[in-house]
Amino acid sequence: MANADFKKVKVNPFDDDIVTEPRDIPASVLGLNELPLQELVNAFAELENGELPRREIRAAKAQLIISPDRGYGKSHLLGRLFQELDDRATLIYLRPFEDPQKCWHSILLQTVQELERTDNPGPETETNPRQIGAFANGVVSHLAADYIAQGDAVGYSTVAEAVQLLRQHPLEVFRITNESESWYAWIQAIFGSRKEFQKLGAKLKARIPKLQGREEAWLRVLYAYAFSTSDGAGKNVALKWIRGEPLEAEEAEEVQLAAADNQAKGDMTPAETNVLSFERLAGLCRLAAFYRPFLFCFDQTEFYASDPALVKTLGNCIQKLFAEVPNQLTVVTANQENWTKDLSPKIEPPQRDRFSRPIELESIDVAQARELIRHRLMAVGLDFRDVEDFYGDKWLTEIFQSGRMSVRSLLQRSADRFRGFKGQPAAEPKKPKIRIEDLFKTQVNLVRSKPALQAYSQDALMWFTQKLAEGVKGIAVSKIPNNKWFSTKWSLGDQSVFFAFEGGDNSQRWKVIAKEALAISKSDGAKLMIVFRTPDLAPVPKPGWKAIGPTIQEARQAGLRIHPLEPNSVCEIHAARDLYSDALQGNVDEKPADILAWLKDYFADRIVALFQAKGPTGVTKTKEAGQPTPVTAATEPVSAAQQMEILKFVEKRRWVSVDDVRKQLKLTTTVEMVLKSIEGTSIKAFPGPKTIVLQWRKAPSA
Amino acid sequence: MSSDALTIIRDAGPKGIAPSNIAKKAKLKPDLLEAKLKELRAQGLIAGPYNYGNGQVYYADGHQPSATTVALHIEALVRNSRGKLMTLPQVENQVRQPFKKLFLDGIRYLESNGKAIRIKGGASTYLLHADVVHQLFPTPALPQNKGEVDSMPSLSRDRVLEAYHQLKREQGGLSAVSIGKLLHRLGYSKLALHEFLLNEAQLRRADLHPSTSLELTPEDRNGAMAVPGKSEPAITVTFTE
Repeated sequence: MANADFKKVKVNPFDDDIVTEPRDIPASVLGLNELPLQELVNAFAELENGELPRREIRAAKAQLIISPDRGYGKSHLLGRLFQELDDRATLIYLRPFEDPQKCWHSILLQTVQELERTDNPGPETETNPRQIGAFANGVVSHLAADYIAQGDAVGYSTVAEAVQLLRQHPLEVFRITNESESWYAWIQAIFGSRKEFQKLGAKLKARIPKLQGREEAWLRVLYAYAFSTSDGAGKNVALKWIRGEPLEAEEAEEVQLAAADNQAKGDMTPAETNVLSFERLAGLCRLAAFYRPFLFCFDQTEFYASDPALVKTLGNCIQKLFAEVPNQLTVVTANQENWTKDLSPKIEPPQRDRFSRPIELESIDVAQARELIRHRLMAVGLDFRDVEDFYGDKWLTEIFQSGRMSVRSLLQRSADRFRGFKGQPAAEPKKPKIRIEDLFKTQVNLVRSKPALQAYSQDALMWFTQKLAEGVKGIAVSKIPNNKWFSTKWSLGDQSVFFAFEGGDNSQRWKVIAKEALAISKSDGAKLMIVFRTPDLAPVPKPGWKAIGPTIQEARQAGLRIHPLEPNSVCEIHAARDLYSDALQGNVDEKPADILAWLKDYFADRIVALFQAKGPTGVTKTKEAGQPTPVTAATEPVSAAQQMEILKFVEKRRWVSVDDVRKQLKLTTTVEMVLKSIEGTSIKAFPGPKTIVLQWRKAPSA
Repeated sequence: MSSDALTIIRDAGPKGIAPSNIAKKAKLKPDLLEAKLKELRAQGLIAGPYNYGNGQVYYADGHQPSATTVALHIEALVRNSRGKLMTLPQVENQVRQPFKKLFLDGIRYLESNGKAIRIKGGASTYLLHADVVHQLFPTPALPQNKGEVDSMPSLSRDRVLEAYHQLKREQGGLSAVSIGKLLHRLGYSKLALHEFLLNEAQLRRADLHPSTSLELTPEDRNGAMAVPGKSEPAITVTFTE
């Protein structure tokens, strides 16, 4: 059956059968799940009634997407919804939260990370803004239009034209600069005048009365984000405030925020953090009356089933979003079995009523299968004759003889057939451990190939320290609710390690964390207090922390470890959680308990080593044969010249591994940075267990 | 509290249950019970009250006296009689009130759906199950409804769909229904139902799904069916028309 054309293809195009990232989905086929998609689009369209700015609009219900079983395309449907809504919505994809007490904190942190994503794949440009940039510009622009329309602008004879311009071109208008007119200078002057700014604040309050007195704060923050230079401090400060982090005095000054609006404190309890997080999330959605409504997608809900408290909290979140947060549509996905047995019975009946009737996914038929197969084969450079060969005289019709099937089932059969066409022997049955190892390595490479999956995730770190570490070499994990920060504890003999999860860099908050570490150190037994730090976070302590320096130093001597995680460790931890989630969803043919046991074994030595953590050793394992390359290379970004070199090299080779790219071009930067540099270009990355294969495509790949 | 009353009535199955017994088991006062029964009846989840002896009986939807439930009961009797022929009075004697009133309707239902046939033998009339007739007479011996040439002759598509939609309603409108539950509800032979479902899947009128769940109920496992060309058994079915 071997075919020369197929042999040239370096990857199996049908192996990509799980969607991890809704912004990166393979092509869809005509008609499949069209009705569910239309239902969701129609439900969203209800939020777009009327001209901007709108009154508050509430979605009818949280939309419940149910798959008859695994592999019918829940996450793919979310991806299609993202594509369909495009810049009509602010798109938020939510992975499961770990801590019921801080659910809103988790949702808010993920929301802000999603807000930082660009509208389309690829780097931020004027025409491809970050979602938060578009949002901030949109709000300020429409509010400015209100200001002019209501007669507050002096000297504008062409009020109607100005208002129209601001409302119709919110993202471009402030870039218009010529000799006679600069909208940027004008808005700068409004924000620079206390009196005019207060008028603007009053207009915001008139439009949206429920911002809890934070109208001026929101305006300052959004203005700071919209009008700071791309690397300006204002953007970071704005994001910190939105995340509900306390600001240093000079940061508040940078964005001219009143002291009273900097209400987050270093010593907030988890409950207070949760309340403030919800307040900020609700604020964002209320402001969406000026711009795009929000779309919140709760995916991978099987993860919640492990803990009744998590399921209950999920029900509460959906209820609260429905009842208190306007201008947003919530979408929840689940497999039918998980929904009926694990989730629905544990959600209180009044909260269950907040879900729509189930929107059910469909099976694929033979005509759609032909289209899907054609897409996949032609995307890897095969032509229509190869595609016809692949269908065969009978193969495709025969596999549909006993009826339609799930998309994943078709992809798995096609993957087997593709191996035959490449002349590869049928895969010999592997031992479970090897199968899981391959799955894990592929998942690690998948995370490495998508920078967004590497962003700080307190949920992934909580899962690592709680679910994954439990029982490893006799470690007992407990929760210490009396500790505000170090609430997770590992015990092994007379040794203890406490973990706190903080992604911010506020000095007062770190002082509180250091003091709690000191207090814990004074109790009996040997102990360490660890706070992980991922590469995307600002380093702490900062050089300027003179006043709290001694406290942190004292805490360090007493066992506080601010533990930097190398990029490879971040990828491994995130991949471990994703793989376990895939097993819970039935996306992989291994039992969740087997996956978890393998992961515990894989991380065991490094988990135990944390009892002796002395410094930035990370939880990275040394390289073994076949493992992803450990990252010791420089983490500086790829330069423009290097990026051009990479693009030319891949175009010439058509198929090449990322390791070869680094080797041949003598790049010292990390694999992650190389992969980041090719996002949104004509290169498509295919993660496998041994490496990541790159393919040159004629059009930019999603 | 409300689901308790419903569960109790469902658990009673084809026997039904008297209001006094529901009240006792659900620990409901008479006025509350009456309101609850009214509510469940309005939702189409239960049927009743039916007069039975000196009292009354309630049934879960799908179990109440009707031509189809009586037919189901009769079909089970004649199918399980194996080689022993049963006369009509013998069958009727095994059907109790209030179902007995609908005995002849049940017989007609079975005949019109090609599931049973009456045969004269001397002065007696015997009732034979379609499966037995098939074994005795390899050529089609049963009347077939027009337009149903593509469905299995020994099964009623209408009855399967009726049971399917009942089960779908009971699980909150979710379409993938356990084949095991369908089997239990219908009382058909497993082989016949599996053949019917496979035929429906081939005609693209139904989709058969495997299951992710590691904790299948004994009922789900009992209904699992092998699907030619697929490595995993189908556990649930969705009818698409």
